[in-house]
Amino acid sequence: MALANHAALAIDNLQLLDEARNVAALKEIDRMKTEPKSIRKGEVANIESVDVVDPFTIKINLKKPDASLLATLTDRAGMMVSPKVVQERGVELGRNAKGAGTGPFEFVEWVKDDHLLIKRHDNYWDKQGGPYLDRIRYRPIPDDTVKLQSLQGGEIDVIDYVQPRDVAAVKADRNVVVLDVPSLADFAYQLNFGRPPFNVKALRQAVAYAIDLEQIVKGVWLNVGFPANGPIPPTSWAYDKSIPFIRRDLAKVKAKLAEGGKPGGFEFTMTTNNIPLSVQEAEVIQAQLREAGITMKIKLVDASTLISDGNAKNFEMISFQWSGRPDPDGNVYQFFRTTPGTSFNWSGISNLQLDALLDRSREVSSQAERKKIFADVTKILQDELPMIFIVHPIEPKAFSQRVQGYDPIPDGMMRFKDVWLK
Amino acid sequence: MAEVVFRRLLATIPVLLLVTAGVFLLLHLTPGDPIDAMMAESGDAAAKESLRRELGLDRPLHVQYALWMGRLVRGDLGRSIRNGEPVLDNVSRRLRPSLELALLAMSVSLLVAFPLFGICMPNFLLALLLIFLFGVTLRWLPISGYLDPLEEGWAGLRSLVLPATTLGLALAAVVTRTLRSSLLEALSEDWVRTARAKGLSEGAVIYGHVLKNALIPVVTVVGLQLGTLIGGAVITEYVFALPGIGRLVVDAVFARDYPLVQGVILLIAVGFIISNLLVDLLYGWIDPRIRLR
Repeated sequence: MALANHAALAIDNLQLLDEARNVAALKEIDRMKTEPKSIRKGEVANIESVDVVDPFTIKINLKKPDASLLATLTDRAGMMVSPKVVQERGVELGRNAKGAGTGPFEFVEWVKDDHLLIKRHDNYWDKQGGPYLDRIRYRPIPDDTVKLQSLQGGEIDVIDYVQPRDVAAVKADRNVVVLDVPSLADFAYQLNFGRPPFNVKALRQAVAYAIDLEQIVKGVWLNVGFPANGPIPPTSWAYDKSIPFIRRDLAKVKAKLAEGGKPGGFEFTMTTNNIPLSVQEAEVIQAQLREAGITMKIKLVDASTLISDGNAKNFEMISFQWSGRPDPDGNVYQFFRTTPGTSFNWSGISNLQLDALLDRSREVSSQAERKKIFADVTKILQDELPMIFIVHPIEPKAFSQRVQGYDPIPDGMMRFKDVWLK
Repeated sequence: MAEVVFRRLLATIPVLLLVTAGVFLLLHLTPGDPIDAMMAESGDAAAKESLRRELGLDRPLHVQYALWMGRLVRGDLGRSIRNGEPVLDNVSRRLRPSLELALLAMSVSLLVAFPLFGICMPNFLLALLLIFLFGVTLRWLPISGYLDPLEEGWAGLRSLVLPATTLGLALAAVVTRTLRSSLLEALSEDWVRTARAKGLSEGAVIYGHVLKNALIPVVTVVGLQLGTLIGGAVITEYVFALPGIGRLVVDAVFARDYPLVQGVILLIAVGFIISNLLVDLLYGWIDPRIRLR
C-alpha cells in the first residue's frame, strides 16, 4: 500500500534533520515496532516493512490487508518525531522534547505537574491559516472544581473537560463558552466468560435487560452522553443508528433468569473505579438489578488495580472505559477477537462468526461494506454480551470569551493551530 | 551535646529499617502493577513481559527488597519506573514548593494561634471557600498554580497565600488547643502567684514567665506537624495544583511506581526524625533543666 505521505510531510518540518525526511518516517515506524517500552507496538504490528519511494513518498508493506491503518496513522502512531533528536537525547527525550516534534507548536519546557510550555513554530510546513498564538501553557489542575474556577476567574483560557455535574452551571455563565464535543469513547462493563455466573449466556442477558440505560444517561451522566448500542460511537461513520440500544424489560429478565437456571435471581460482584461518577453509576445499576431480583456487590478499586484485575481475568463484571480510536477497528477488534493470553479481550469471548467478521472488516476497503460488517458485529455483541455498553460520553470543553477559531475534532485531542485570541 | 545528637541519629537506623520494610511490603501487597499502569492502553502482552523483566519486577519479593537495600546502602535510591529519572532528582524538584508551603502555613498557624483562635474545618472545604472568595469573586489572589517566591518574589508569595492560609488555619486549631490547656495548667502554678504578688503586670506575667513554661507541649505538637506538613499536604497541593512532595507520592502510589514511593517515604521519615530531633534540642533551650538529663 502506498501512503500519500502525511508522516513524511510532517517530518519536512524538521529543519535540523540531516537525513531525508522519508527515511526519518521509516526509522520512526521502526522505533514504534521495536522499542521495548513502545505502547504503539500493537498499532503498527501489521506493518512488515517500509520502503522509501521518493522524497515525498514512502511505501508501507503490510503483513495482511488492513483497512484501519490509515486512520491509525492520523492518530498517535502517525505523530513523527526526529530520529536524530531521539538518538541524541535517549531517555532524556521524555522530559525534554526540544526540536523533536513536527507540529504547529514547538516544545519549550515541561515542569512535571506544574506546566508544559510550547511556542509557535514559525517554519511549520502548512502555510495555510495558523499557528497564530505565540505560546500555549498547559497546566495540570487535578481538582475539577478548581479547574473550572480558574477559568471563571480569568486565570486560564481553556479547560479540556467539564464534569457532567458542572455543565449546566457553566453554560449559564456568560463569561464562558461551552462546546459539547462528542467523543469516540465507549464506557462499558466486561463480563467474564470464564467463570460463573457469566459463563452462562442467559444470565449475561438477564443483567443487560435489567439495566435502564436511559435512566443512567439522564440521572448519572446528566445527558452529557448518549446511551450506547455497542462499541461504535455516534460520531463514527460506522455507527448504525437503526440498531437500538438494549432496553430494560423486566419480563425478559425473568425469562432469562429461568433459562439460566437461576429463577430466584443470583449474586455477583462488579469491580469499578473509585471515582465519583463511576461509583454513582454502579449504585444506580445496583438498584436497577435489585428490582429485577439480581444482587450486585460493588468492589471499588484504583485504576492500576482495575487494569491488573482485568488482565488477570480476576473479576465477574468490570468497568471498562475506552477513550476510542478514529477507526472503528480500534474500538472493536482487540476487544472481541479471540486472543490467547493477555489482551483487551478481558471477557474471554471466542466466537467463530465474530472472529470471521472482524478479520473481514480489516480486509475489505469499501467503507459501506465495512459499515455493514460492523453492524453485524454490533448485533452479535448485543446477543452474546461480552460487554454491556452504557454510554458514549460527550466531552464538553469550556473557553473564555476571547478564545476564537477552535475547531472541535471528536478524538479527544485539542488542536490550537488555527486558534487566536480576541 | 554532639554526643546526644550522635546517639539520637544512631537510634534512627532501626526505625528507618522498619519503615523501609513496611513500605516495601505494603506497596507490593497492594493489588495492581506498574507495568499495567504504564501501558494501560496497550494490549501487547509480550512487550509488557519484557519490560517487567527489564525492571526486575519478575523476581521474588525478597530478592527485590535485598537488591533495593543493597543500592540504598550505597546511597542510591534508584530510579522512577515511570520517568526513568533518579528518585532524588524527582524529590529535590518537589521539595522547595513543599518546604515553602510548610513554613508559610506554620507561620500562619502560629500567628493565628497565639493571639486568637483556630478554624477546624476540612482542608478541601476551606480551600474551596477561600478560592471562591479571594480568587473568583474578589480576584485578589491567584486561584491555583505555583511560582517560586525565591525567584519570582512577590508574585510567588501571592501564589502561596491561599494554600498556606488553608493549611495554617487548620493547623492553628490544634496549636491553639494545646497552647490553651498548657497555659491554663501553668497559670495555676504557685510561682505565678508569686510573680503577681511581687507586683508584675499581667502582661509581664503571661509573656515573661507563663508562656515560656507552657511552650514545651506546643513545641512538640508544632514539630510533629512540620513533618506532616512537608509530606502530607496532599489535599492542599491537589486543590491548588502545587507541584509538591505530597502530590508526587500519591501519584506514584497510583502508578505503582515502587522505587519512587519507597524513596519518598524514606526521605519523609528522615525529615520526621530530624524535625523531632530539633524539637528535643529546642526543649533544652526552653527549659535548661531538660538539657542536664
